[in-house]
Amino acid sequence: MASPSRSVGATTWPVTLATVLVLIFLLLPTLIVIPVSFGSQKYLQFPPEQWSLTWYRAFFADREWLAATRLSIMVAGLSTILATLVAVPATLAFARGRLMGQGLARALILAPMILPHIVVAVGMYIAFSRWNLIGTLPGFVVAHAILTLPFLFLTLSAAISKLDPSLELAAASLGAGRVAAFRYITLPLLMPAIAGGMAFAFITSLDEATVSNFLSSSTSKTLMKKMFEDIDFDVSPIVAAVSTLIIVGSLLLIGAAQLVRHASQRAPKSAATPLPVARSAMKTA
Amino acid sequence: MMTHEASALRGRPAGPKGGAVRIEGARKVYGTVRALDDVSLEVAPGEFLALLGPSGSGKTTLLMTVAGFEIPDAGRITVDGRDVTAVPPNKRDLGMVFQRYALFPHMTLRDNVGFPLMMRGVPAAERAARADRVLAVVGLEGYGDRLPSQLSGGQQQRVALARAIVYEPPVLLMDEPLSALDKNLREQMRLEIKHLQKRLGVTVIFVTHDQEEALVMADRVAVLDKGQLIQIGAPRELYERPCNAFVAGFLGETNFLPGTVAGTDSGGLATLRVAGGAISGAAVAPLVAGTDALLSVRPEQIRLQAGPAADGALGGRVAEVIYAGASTIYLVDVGTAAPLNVRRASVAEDVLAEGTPVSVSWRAADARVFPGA
Amino acid sequence: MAVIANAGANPKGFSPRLSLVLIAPAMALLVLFFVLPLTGLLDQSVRSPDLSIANYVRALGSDLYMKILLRTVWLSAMVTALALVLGYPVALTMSRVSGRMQLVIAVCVLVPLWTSVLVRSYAWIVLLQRRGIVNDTLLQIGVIDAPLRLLYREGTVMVAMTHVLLPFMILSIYGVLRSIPRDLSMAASNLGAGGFATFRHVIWPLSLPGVYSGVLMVFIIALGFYITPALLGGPETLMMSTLIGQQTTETLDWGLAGALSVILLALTLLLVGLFGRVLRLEGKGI
Repeated sequence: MASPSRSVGATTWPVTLATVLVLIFLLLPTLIVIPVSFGSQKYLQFPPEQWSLTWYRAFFADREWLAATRLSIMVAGLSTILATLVAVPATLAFARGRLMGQGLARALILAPMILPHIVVAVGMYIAFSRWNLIGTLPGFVVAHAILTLPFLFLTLSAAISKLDPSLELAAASLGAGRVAAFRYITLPLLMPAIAGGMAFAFITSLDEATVSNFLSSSTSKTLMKKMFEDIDFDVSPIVAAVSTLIIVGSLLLIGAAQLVRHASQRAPKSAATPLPVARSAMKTA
Repeated sequence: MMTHEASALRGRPAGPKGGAVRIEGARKVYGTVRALDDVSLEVAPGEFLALLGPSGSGKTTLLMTVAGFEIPDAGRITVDGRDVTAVPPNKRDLGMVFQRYALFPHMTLRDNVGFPLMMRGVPAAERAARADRVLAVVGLEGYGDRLPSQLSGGQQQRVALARAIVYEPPVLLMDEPLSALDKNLREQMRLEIKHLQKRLGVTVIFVTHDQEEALVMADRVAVLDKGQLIQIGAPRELYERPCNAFVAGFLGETNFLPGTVAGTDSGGLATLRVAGGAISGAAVAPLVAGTDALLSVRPEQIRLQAGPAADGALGGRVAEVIYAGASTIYLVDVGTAAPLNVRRASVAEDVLAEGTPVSVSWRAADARVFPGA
Repeated sequence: MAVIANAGANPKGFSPRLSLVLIAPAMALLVLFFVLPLTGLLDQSVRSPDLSIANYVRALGSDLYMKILLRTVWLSAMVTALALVLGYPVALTMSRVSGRMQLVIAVCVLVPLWTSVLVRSYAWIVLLQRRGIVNDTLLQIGVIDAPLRLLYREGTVMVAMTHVLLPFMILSIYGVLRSIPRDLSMAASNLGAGGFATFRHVIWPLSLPGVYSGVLMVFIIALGFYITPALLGGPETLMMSTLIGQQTTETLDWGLAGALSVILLALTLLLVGLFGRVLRLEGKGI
């Protein structure tokens, strides 16, 4: 059917105006840090009188910033891998298996997404102090894996529910065992969703601030903790430079993930899913 | 099902009267596609007109233009003499049944059917009463409190119909309303809708891609192709006297035999030379001897006789016999690229075996000859 | 094919034992590092310094803490209302426009969503501090003589939190609006409804699942929101989250921190328990 050209498609001007204003409200405060980061003065300026890379140089010359960046990337990478390794089998168990207490298990997996992050952070802080995990790589990795798990789980569940179960039956009828069917049929079809989910999990970990804030020590802190301290104590434009780098890096990674999804969607029957919303719950608080 | 109480709808003193719809020179272009290419037609009050065509023919665009969801780039649409071309859909007062019914899922059937009345300021109590009455007309008495999701496809179809007629619009637009139903229900609903339409006297414009549906239901059928109105007329006229090869091929089954014009007579009959001999049919347009032409003859118009070719007939051989219940289809090889498709009533003592040599003929007046190849 | 022979077994499913093996790593991870720390909080709250409910009495009996709890609920409610009012038109437009316009709106909504909360809180400081962009501009055009105090106010925290949570509200509503068949609007229009009547009687009621889901999600997240209030709020805008943080790392009163956490947790669980069904985590919007 041809798309109707009026009445239903059109929106009225007050709604359009409201939309434009809200979008400006959403976008502008986010992007304002970019021009600010290219200033040269000690205090924040907009627009900068003189454009320079002063604060980027300062960032790359600062040992503490670089250490925090390195730690965050390590934590993001390792926690993404850990979360994926536990999320994929768990998703399969829910989608294809028979579980006792399924509802409870589900609630447990989704809980880190729904429960207040401050409570999770404080709980982990108190427990991890006892176990000497504060400021340690395993501590960060485990915490972030738990925080990204519900999100990976939802993404993968959506993807697996779109797979045609008769494909696995067909594989079985052709002589494939459980493992072979997974290896040659299910896993390849889930690959785009797994890859996309991992990219988003990586950024989620990188951006995670609340729990990192509590699990960092004075000598070992993530990038977000370092930013938090810098913002809290003295608002130096170096934070604007870091922010810009984070924005650009995140968008590049997401762009790449979208490309992977797009390419895979052309292949018939692969189960790529849109993911934005679950993530919002992850990254806030 | 929809037998009783149709009169309940007719509160109007004037008695059953549908609206007259006139479309003059409607054009609509999407990018480079001409969805409507200078279409003009008139629908008489109380008439059932089917818009028939393949997908992309412009039939839905034409309906949407009448409904007001599309504004034509050029042309005029009038209903009972009132120019509605620029009138928004909600002010046109036309009824419409959508392809997937478009029932409001959060409203009961009574509220669905009462919705147009609410929009027209009818008080709640009267709304409910009228909605229930119309639901009864379409055979859903006592279903008023249900939600659309609790109904079968056929029942939803009836609700959509009830909602479209409750405010007694002069014209009812239907966009492939039966396409979502299974075959048996579809055939039953064809007649029910037609009977209801006759009782109400409402004018109906009915979009379909199903030629059988158009032939069974409509008073007149308009055939569209690539945005153009190709032919409009009564079903029998279109089926028996298609104006070109497209209409002949689109409505029902036919055999096309390409040949060269040998000559025409004063009665409008033309003779073509084909591979296996000479054949004749009614010329739809003046033909020049020696040019290419195409003869169309319906499978049921062809006579088969065992034995060698008679005079003025084509000789052939039965290539395949397909038993299809009431009729039997013979594929006859007459030396043309595709075998002829011949349909005969299935009579036990009159079966031609595969391989039988046959003589193939038809009454010249039953075949049509179109210019060109 | 032995699995298929199992009476009542799902022919394409895994056996209970295999299912258990598959889910075990996730459960182990969660129990050890998530459930245990949370129960640890509960433990702290009733055992620090000794076994009693003293911490709860302190938390719930104190006017100050009650005020902070009420402020947290009130602020979260305001943020939710603001997000709904601002988000609905965007979701509506997004569901109505097509092709390129839709992509533009989606990018505008998603870019902030994918930008760290910390970066966005920082951006508000850049905008609102004493020598920030807003004050500079206002001074320059002569609207004010001295810089305004814009940071560390409740209103600022509210706006900044709305900014962070708005994309979630928009996507939640949009997910539902998108699934409303277009022909319903056309049908309403054909039946005589104008633009507003169509919205009121058809679009709005059908979009309510998305509204409920968005409202609950935003409210719950707002309740436990930490970073933005911690950076943009002042002493008089203390929220539950910032209070809990203070008690944990500054005052080191883990008993009280535990009690406050348990109260916040209970509030969240109560909301999820009562209204959790509207969250539609499985829905298309996710």
